[in-house]
Amino acid sequence: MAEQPNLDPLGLWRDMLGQWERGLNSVANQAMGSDEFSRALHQVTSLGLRMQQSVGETMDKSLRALNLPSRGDLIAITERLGRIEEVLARIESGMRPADGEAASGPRPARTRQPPSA
Amino acid sequence: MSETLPIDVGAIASRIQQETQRAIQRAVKGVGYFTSPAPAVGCTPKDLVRARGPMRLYHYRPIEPELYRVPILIVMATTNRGYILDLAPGQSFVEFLLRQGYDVFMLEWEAPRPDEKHLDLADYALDFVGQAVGDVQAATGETNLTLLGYCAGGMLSCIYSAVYPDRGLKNLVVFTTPVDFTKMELFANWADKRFFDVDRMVETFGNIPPEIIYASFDMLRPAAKIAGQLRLWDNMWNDEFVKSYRMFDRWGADALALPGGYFRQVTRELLWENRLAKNELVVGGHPVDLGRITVPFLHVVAEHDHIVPRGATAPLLGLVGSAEKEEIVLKGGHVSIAAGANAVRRMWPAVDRFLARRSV
Repeated sequence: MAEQPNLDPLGLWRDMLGQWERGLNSVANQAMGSDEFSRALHQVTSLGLRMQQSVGETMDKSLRALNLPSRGDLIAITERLGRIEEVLARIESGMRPADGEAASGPRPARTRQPPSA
Repeated sequence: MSETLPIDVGAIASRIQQETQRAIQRAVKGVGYFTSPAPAVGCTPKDLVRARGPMRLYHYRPIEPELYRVPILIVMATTNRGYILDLAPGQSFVEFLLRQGYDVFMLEWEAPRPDEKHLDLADYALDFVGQAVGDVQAATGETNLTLLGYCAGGMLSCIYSAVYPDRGLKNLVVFTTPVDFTKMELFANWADKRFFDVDRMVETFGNIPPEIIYASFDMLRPAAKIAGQLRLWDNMWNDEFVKSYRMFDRWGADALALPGGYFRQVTRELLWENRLAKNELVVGGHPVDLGRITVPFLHVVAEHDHIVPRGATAPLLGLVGSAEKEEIVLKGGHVSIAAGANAVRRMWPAVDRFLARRSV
């Protein structure tokens, strides 16, 4: 059978890109599935977490010394604001007309049948 | 034996002209790409029914004059925004359901506040889903409803349905829902209990930051980002491709933080102990036996899902106790199955076929 010559100049590049992507993903997935990767990942994560904890504690002490609110203080305020928001939402939902009746008139009838019925 | 046709000079000239035009378009539209805002997403009109903690329950405004009796409550995955199911007109699962005559609600999530770090599976699967079920029943006046969960939203829906099978559930539909966590091999390896100190991570962060969630999804396909950028350049002349790329890219990067309590429980009880697949999970003091789910059940899974591989989804159909149960395996990946071209052609009509006669 006769073959039409390939007129797409970027076609080869697209094929290569697809192959490169699949190959790299496959190699990386194999590497990331190993014990060594998992151990190394958690060593790095653990170091990062220790640093973050120690920076957090130092920052807390410094803010306290400067008489400024710490992260914990801000979280406590956020918690109280959250509770106020929830109370407001409850009040608002109590004042709202029943769902479906607001502005759009009566609810659609719930009598629809499947097309074949 | 094959032979090559003589070279068609006219075709070559036409091809060169086309490539030249595309190169110019790439340059012109490339500038526009960096200066224009991202396309709007999640635009189907809706009303907020309830906001409590991280839960947001929305009711989409019906567009058909006559609805099926049984409303649908969509439960979104805890790590991502719900607009993946409502990307744009013509590319929205929600809009499709509304046009078929369903009354649609969506339970989606906001990032937990620092003081909500204690929230766990019981809060999400029983309290928030339970609250949403009650709200849908109150808003529609109907006792029955269909639960439809995507990914981890499917897992929450299954847990709720197994614990409370008698609270009005009429149908259960889930997409790409993991149940056997030993088959999520990369996630299981990254969370290897010999090396991973989940308590330290939760104590340090409180809520697990979205950057960690995003990075863990990204690491599953490390070459995808670079290849995606190159394909974007290649298709910069194509407005539809660019729009679609931007919507999916935005959604992928729009990951949500997870409460520390939820993350700890998923790591310990699902990734380490695989308790859901063994029917040994206990949530809020309730044993989760998937065999107690007896309503009509549909599981739609993706053949090439790199986030929730086929092995992780496969046992669910056998574990569910329903007499009427079905699994549909479709070509596509974790996201394209719900919102891509395959979704429009295959998945959405399949869900409609399953639900229509069971929603009266």
